[in-house]
Amino acid sequence: MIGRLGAALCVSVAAGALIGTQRVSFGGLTITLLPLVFAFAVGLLLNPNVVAPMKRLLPPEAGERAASALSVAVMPLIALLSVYIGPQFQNVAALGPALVLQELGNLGTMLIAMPLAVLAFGMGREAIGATFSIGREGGLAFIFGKYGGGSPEATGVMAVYICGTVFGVIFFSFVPSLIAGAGVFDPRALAMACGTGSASMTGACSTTLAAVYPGREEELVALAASSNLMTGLTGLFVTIFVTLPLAERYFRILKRFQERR
Amino acid sequence: MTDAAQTTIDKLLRVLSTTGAVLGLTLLSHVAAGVGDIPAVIAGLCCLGAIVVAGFVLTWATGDRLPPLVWVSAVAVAAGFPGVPGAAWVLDRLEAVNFVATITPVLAFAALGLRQGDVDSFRRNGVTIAVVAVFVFFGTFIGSALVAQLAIVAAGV
Repeated sequence: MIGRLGAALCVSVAAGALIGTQRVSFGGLTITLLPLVFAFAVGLLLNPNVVAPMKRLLPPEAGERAASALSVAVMPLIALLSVYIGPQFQNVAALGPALVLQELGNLGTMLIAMPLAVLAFGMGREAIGATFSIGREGGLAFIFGKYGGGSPEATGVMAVYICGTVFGVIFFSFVPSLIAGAGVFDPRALAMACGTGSASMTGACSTTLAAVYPGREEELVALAASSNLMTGLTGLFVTIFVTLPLAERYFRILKRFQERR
Repeated sequence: MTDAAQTTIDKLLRVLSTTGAVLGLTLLSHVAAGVGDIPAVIAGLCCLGAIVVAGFVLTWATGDRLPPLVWVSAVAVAAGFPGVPGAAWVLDRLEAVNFVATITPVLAFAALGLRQGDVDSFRRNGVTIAVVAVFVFFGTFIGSALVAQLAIVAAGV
């Protein structure tokens, strides 16, 4: 099975690398598609849990192995991005206040997504778990610990966690390129926004940005890695003392608003 | 041998084998894309592997208080920091390693790592939760970008 999984991984990687970086334009907007997008697409086609006929080539348990390896597999990339924080230290330190403040920007998650969940889709307390954070491992563990495994909050965070697993990284390789194309934001602000606390999303986001701004690769990945490191260090603290109390209050306000209508 | 020592050895073997596999795929990704000088890429990837393993060992040695992500990142920052002995050498080796070629294998793992349970619950949850998730991801990104942009403009840097 390891041999077959290895072969499938090799095919996906080689296909992605051979297709290479593609730029697609429509209506004045240009999206940069990196090989990672194509490697992901080929990987999905080879995955027996997605494309059933593949069961003949690859046992479905291969998915378990690849999934359990993912948290380690992303680490060489994190190391590569972080190594440039030192040489770029002056640029990073100059943006120190911005780096700290943008952690609060993670509240944007809840501000934007919770009204949609509650008002448009009529979700209950599931909305708290679904929208209080980007819902990766840290958030999942925290919600399960606080509200318990069978709670509506846990159902909410689990659902977003699954979505993140299925299309989170792909999302973070499209959106930065689209937003960068609009030309409104300073690329350094976008690089800091890439540091979401999820290693693979940060990696996809910052390598895509680096491809959009050639010549500034090291500065941009260093900022993304700094921001990601900061989220990793402060994320739980901010969740306990800021985000979750605010999420509870925001939820009550939205519910009251919904009942009045 | 004690159980604790056995567990540590098991964890170490798992990290070593996975890191080795990923670095092998990363090399393949460089070769297929035709980027970089291959012997130099191999030397760079070995440096990355050493940083990753050191990060995991520190995670375990400190009782798993912080996630491996933080330790790997911290070791990498230290390894490339100006003034740290050998930092210039490490940066020289890593110069040959391409960002895009390094992330490609991660996505192959992500795609092949979707389990039957993931696919089923994704289908069961339906479009509603996928739309909410898109807003969650977008909100995180745009919220941080807006605050960072304001801070950059306010500081005039």
